[in-house]
Amino acid sequence: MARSVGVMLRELLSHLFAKPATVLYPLQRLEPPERFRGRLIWNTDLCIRCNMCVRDCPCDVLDLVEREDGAVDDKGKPLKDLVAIMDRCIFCGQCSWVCPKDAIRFERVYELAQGDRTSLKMYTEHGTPEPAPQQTASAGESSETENSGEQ
Amino acid sequence: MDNAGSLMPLFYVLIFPGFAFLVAFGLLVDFFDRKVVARLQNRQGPPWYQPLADMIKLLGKEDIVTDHADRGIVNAIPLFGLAAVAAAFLYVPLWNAAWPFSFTGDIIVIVYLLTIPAFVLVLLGWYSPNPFGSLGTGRVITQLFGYEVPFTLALLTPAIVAQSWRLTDLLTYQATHFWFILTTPIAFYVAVVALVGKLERIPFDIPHAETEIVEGPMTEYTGRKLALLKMMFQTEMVVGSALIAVIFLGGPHLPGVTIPIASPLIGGLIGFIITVVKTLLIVFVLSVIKALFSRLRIEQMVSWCLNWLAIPILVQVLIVVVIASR
Repeated sequence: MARSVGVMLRELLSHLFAKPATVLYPLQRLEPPERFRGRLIWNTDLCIRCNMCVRDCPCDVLDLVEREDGAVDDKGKPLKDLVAIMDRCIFCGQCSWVCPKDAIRFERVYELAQGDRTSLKMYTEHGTPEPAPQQTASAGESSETENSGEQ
Repeated sequence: MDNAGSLMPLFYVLIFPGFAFLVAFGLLVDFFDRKVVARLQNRQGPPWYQPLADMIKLLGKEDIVTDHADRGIVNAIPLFGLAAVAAAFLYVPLWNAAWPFSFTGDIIVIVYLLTIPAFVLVLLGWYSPNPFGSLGTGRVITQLFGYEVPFTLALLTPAIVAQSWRLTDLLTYQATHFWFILTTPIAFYVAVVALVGKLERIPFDIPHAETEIVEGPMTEYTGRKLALLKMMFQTEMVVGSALIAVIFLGGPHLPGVTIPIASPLIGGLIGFIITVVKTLLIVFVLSVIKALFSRLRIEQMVSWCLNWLAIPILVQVLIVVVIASR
């Protein structure tokens, strides 16, 4: 027992003058990991409304609903938008994994707290996503061209 | 002049070195303890004002007394405990041997007053309708049997060596001879470990083991009363550490540092700083113990204390008595 206490004591005292592993949070921030799943972003222009994310979501967060103003596309079909009930989301990443057009993704933003649960939101963006630090820039453009090719 | 002289005892008791200083020093020691434990665990630790902020927060909270609890007792007990610890602090000589509150037998009075916080916890749990409170009370009493007698004997061993029941006499003895940590090392070890039990810190935090019985006797407490109880523990840590620093580490005495007798103010200041540093040294040891161990079970604690505190301190007392009688 005395030996194990000695080993532990040496370990403890070595920490005393080492750099701490934690930071003073609001003043200093740690960078989240590269594939961190934070804020949910839906790109309206990349999305082809294939319903895959809605079907795959294990928590019934996502749904495609028709627009309130009853707008239709050039074929006469009603336009749909993705809506999310974000307080159900468990950030499993299934939606972005299953999306064929990378239209739904997670940002590395982790300060998502709100005053009440209805204020939790999915964010929307339009157009091709600007070149992000990850390799999404080239991937986004290629999917954009694929998209136009299909149409 | 006469008027000012009659106000001096009041100043001593209420401001310095009495209650106000004790509370401020308690907050400092609490910060020091938390910071050291955090750094030992590779964390940043709280900023310096965190204990004060905690205290202000608690003081500002709603004051709740549970149903079926005795309102008078519940209100009075925390004050009683804090008052006992604050009274004990007055008798610890902080800067020199000419301490205004010193009298023959003060060491016994301090030991007696430092026992009161344990009984405060017993009463808290006893008058609380909460089962965690009663459970914690039982543990407080059981634990008391483990550390109380060794602690008392450990503090009295230097008194036997110095042939005096007066703390200032122990100071003068250490200034002319060796510090008691060198002459009675076993008593020092027992005193520090028993102090851990007295303060109910890890590994002896069994009475309020958070993972088992919430906060033990303090479960139903909040607001002002919890603030007073926290303050009681902080100040008890100050008094216990300062007491050990005075009895075993020579208090204001430091070899090589001659305190100028001509100016009592500067001499007192130097002695005071030395005592505070030694007190923080003891607190550092307590913090390392806190970071080093995990909680024992109650029966492990008592049997360990009987084996490794009671027997060594009896051997120490025997050695001292045999040497003193020769």
